[in-house]
Amino acid sequence: MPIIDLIGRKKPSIRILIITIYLLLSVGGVTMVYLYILMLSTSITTEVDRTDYRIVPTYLYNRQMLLRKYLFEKYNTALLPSRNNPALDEVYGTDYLKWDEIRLPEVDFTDSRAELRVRDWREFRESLPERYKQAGFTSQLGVVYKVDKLYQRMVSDRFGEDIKKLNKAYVEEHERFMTVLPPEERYLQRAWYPKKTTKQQEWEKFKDKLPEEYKVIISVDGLWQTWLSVKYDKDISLFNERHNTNYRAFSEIPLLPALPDREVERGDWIEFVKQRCPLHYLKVTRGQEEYQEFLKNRYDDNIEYFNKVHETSFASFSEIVLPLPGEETAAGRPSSWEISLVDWGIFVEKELSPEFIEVESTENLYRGFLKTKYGQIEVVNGKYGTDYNDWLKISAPYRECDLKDLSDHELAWRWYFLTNNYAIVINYILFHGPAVVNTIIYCVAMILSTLTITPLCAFALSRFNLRSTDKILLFLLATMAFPAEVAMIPNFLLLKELRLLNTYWALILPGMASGFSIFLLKGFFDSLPRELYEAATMDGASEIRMLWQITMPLAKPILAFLALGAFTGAYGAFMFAFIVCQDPGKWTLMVWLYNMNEWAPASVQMAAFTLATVPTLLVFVFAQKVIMQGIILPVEQ
Amino acid sequence: MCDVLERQTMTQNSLSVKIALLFMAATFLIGGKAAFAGDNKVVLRLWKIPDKYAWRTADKAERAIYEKFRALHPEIEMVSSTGINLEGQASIDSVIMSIAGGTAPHVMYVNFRKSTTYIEQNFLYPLDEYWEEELNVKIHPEVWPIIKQKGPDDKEHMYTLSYGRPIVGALMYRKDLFKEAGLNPYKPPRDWDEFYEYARRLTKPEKGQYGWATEVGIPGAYMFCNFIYMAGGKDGGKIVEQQEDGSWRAVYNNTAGVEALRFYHKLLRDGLASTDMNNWHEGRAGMSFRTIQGDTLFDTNSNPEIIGIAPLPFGPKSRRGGEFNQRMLGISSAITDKRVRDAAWEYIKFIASDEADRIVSEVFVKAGEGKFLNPVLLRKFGYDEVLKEVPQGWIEAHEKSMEHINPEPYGRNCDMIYRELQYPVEYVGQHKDVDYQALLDKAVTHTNEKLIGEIPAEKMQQRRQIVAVVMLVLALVFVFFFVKFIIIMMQKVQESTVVPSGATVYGKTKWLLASLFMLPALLTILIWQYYPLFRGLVIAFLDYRIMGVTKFVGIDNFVTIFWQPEFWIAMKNTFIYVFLTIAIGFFLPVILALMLNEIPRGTLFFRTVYYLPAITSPVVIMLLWKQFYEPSPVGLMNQLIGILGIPAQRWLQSIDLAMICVIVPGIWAGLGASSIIYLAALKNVPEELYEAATLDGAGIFQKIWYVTIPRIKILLIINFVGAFIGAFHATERILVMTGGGPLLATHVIGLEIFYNAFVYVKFGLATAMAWILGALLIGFTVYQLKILRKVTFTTVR
Repeated sequence: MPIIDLIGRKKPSIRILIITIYLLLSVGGVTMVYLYILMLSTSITTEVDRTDYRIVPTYLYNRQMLLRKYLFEKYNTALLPSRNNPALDEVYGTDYLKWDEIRLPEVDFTDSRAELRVRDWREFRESLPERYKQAGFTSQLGVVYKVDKLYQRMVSDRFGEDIKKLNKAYVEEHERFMTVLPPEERYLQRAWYPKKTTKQQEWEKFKDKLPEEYKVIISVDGLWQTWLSVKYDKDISLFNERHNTNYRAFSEIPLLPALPDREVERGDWIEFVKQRCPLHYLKVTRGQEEYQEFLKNRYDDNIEYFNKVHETSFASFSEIVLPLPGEETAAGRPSSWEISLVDWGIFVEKELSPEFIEVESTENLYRGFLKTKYGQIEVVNGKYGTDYNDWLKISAPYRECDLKDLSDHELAWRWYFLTNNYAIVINYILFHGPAVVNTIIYCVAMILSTLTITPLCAFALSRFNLRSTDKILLFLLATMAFPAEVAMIPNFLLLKELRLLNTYWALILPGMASGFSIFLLKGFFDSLPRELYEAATMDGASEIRMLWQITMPLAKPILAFLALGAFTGAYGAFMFAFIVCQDPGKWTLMVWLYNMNEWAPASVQMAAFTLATVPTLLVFVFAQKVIMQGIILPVEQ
Repeated sequence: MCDVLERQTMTQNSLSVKIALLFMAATFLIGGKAAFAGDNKVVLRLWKIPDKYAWRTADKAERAIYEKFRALHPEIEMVSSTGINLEGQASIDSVIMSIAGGTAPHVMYVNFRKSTTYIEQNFLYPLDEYWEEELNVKIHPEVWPIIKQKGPDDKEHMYTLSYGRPIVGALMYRKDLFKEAGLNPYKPPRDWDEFYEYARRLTKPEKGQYGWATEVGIPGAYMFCNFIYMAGGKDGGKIVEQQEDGSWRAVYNNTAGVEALRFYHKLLRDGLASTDMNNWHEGRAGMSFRTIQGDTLFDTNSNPEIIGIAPLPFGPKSRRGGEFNQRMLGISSAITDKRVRDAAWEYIKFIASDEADRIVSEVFVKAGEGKFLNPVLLRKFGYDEVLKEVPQGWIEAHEKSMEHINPEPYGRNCDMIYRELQYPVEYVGQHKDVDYQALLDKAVTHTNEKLIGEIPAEKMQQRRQIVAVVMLVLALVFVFFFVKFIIIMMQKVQESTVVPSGATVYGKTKWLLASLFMLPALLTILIWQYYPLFRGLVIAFLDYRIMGVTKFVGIDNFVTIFWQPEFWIAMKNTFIYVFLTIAIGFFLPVILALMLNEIPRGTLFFRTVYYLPAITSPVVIMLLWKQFYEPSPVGLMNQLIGILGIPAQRWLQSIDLAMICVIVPGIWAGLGASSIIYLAALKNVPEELYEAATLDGAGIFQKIWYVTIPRIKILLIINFVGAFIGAFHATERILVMTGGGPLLATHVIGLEIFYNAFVYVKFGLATAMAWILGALLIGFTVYQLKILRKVTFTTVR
């Protein structure tokens, strides 16, 4: 009953007190709810907007944020220039330091000229060789993005969902398809050539069919501009001063297709092309003899030695031709490109005459494409509403096209971002891991034992009035006097000796009976009216029937409470479950969650937490009455 | 041999055999997986399968070797042993933990410092039978003593096979910073004086640039060892030393140790050294130490244009030395199937073979990185042409480094040597005036006691006497309270026998039926509570080994515990934890319940809201809060305190805040559930009492004090004792959040027990510790039981 009586409540001072109580309760309540709401809202974010901690994540209504998230995954999380992935800054020619600096490009697609520009670019994109495209939407961080997912579906179909077949064919060692990732592509490396393994070949087929919007176009001009800006300490005025130019930013400087005419520009060009530019973007058609001479020198005029290193079978150095990027060869025969990229790299850097080099940058190819399509620069200006005065000034509409790709399927992408974390977790825990099965078996076993072993024993103690009842109770309770840690170690050793570690038994057996529960239940059974049993006895009911038909139904609330305790105990058990079952095949949900903490991004973890809370939440909702009825209060005798 | 031993331990325990028979059938029903896959393949568990998509050439080579082996032996299916990494304990050897847990790899990676521990614990299978084969391997003379060691049977056995070329310590430096500082990048420092001078010139405080970079904690101690090697050379620069009787002692308080510590301290004190290795990685440190891997002379990931490598400089007495190590593989003694063992041997043999070397060389040469390889390999496999490309400086650095080598410490428990060394090393980092000799003497004594177990007989005797007295007291306390407990329990006998029987069965039938009903429960409690308890009583006095021979050690486990600083730190932390938990957490739910009881409307709503965390599993709560405690400025907690203008904190990573951070989530989560119980109790207080009090003119607080509290007193006491005892056992939450870190700031006794038992496999020691904890608490537990015995529980209507 309330301490403050009804009459007292009208006093102003009491009113203030009540209001203060409400205030305090509300503040406390907010901390309870707020953290849960944050858990929920963070669970539908990604690394881009995770630390915003908004109750309703912005991207759900804001296109700019959606674009940031889209680009984050499209560019495989690379914003600043990196060694392996075409980075957004490099492709866009921007200096963004963080993803949340990205702004929506100002482009109006209802303007047919802007639309045409993107359409033309898309057409060009189709025709671009694969070495200019690296798959986007893939990640090596333990999460799966869109392309990973599509790829996993493909390989899973391809191998009839038999992971062993995949392991054999690809020489890998996966336990499930969800860990299979596309082979890495490193088109930004100076000398890279994908080994034509089965996996690579099948990946290339897959990538070929992949919609263009899932691929990142490598901007060779971007590589050049990044290189320049590092060389000139990010100071464009320094560059302008040295070259007598007036660029406003490095992103305006095009990479010329051939050795520049102006002497002052040649130094940088040669250095970049010879040392940094990926070899597969250089076209070299002259200098064959020089190359052969170089190889001869390098391998001491010993063709056998060359053959040994490269696993080839040339009769003499004069058979070796200049490598040609993208050259297709018959199966089984190595292409000129495959043979000795390392030698080729050294040759290009050290010996090749720069006049022989032609740079096939993405941008130059694009300009060429426009030239063939429209012929005159004025036509291009007319169609696009631009004012270029030189073909070299034409820039590629990467930004506009990315936005268009996104806005064509805007809703689908929102839905994707809303659900992807959950999809990852569900895939990980529900469909591909034994965690859920393990947890269910553990919980069910614990509930069952609580509902059988405990009441049976309590009933015997309460009903049969054995002379030794108290001694047995003592026996049941006495171990409580000793800390659980003392028993834990021998328990573990016993399980080990019985070879029960890493089996369900290890989880279940030690906790099947609890002395305290029996003690509690016995007390409850004692308090049941004796007349009921007497009546039943007269009807000739057996003891088992009495237990089943009289005692148990009457004890429902307390039994439900004990069962609930058994469930939450088993569901939430971590340390014990982990110690006795270290084999991942027997991990329970909590152990998986703990493990996830090691590799999963925070937002994915939040999704996992949310999902892990669902079972207990459901139980709470349905068993609320039980919890309230099951509250047991001590009463002094 | 291992089978025999296992059988021995089994028969030692006849009870477990009987129980084993009982459960045998059941075990086979859902027991562990057999070592064979369905298609008669041998399953071989490796500690790690080389990454298919490794980018570093060295890793690619490792993968290529693996793939070749896979192609050669299709009958062997290789899997990797996945374990869990414990929070904040990166240095823990998870392999040992997995051995206890039965998920250990079959092929075990061994290095110098781990070797003796593995052998003494009988984790490694002696390879003598396999070594009899014709092995075409070349082994460095310094590696022999590690391969061939005395086993638990006191006989020498071959335990491992080394692979690859030895690893040796070296100096690495940045040529660009050298140039900037006006130093010759081709003349790295030759001795300590030059080293100091170079470091001084490389240090530029205004740019945050240091002369030399090292690390904190265990990696820092590892780095520091090189100074000892340099100061003492091969003979003087010893960290541990084998005595004539074959035992090992720590000796790093020798002149070399003192010289090393002095020099290290000078570097730090004069601001020339940084303990943040990021300074090196980000180009703000001129020099650091690293190892030359042997197979390669230079790290392919580093840029040879910028980074130079040189032998470690001469120490003060024109001595020179550096760490020497070797990668080795052994076979787990847990394997019972000979086929698996043979497969493991095949694998090891292949890794150590010429063929593996050939693959490594091929991969490097093909990748155009042949020049990074050891010239020995290049010559051996006919890549002489590449030899021209190998910089002369690397060859020289390697050769000179190999001339003066100090093997990494091995011997009993040397896997923990860096853990030990970190204390003096950290100490000088934080103090200005240091007595080096005294500091090291103290540390060495501790190391000898803890690792090597070497305590002077006299001192040991003295300690044993003290401990014996303490334990006598403890035993008396135990007995006293236990007897008291029995008395409490028996008091009821007279009262309860008066309850008349209502049962319909009599005599034998009654007994039979009752026994049948009670059997499952009694059996469970007998096996899983009594048996462990008695066994625990025995284990506390044993040096218990999960593999090999267990020895009786008397009260030595207790002696070890009482003289172990970690134990006392854990004790202190436990008391802090208990105090804070109770002080902050105990009364909050009572206050909440009182408030909920007063409000006219919305009780149900608030009750539900506050109950929310109770429906979430503790692990989830802890992990959730851990996210919120993110130490970067964008972490939630930092954003929240940022609003109030408080600078960002490191939360769980801060020594000062970690403890409170660990406690708060538990209180937050438990608040609702406990307050509901109090609320129910408050509702049971009869209204008349309050009315009477009102008539007497009592105010609110008087009513609470004189009416409410007495009515819920018993509940308060029960909960208090429960919370108090519970707080002592709080382990799981801390394990999840910090693992005891940072720097043992949240290391409580439960964790100390956990780590000793399941991570360091010192079951005897851990059990003894558990008993000490039990002795501390038995008074409270008995008191708890006494109250519980006095009350009956009723459910709320």
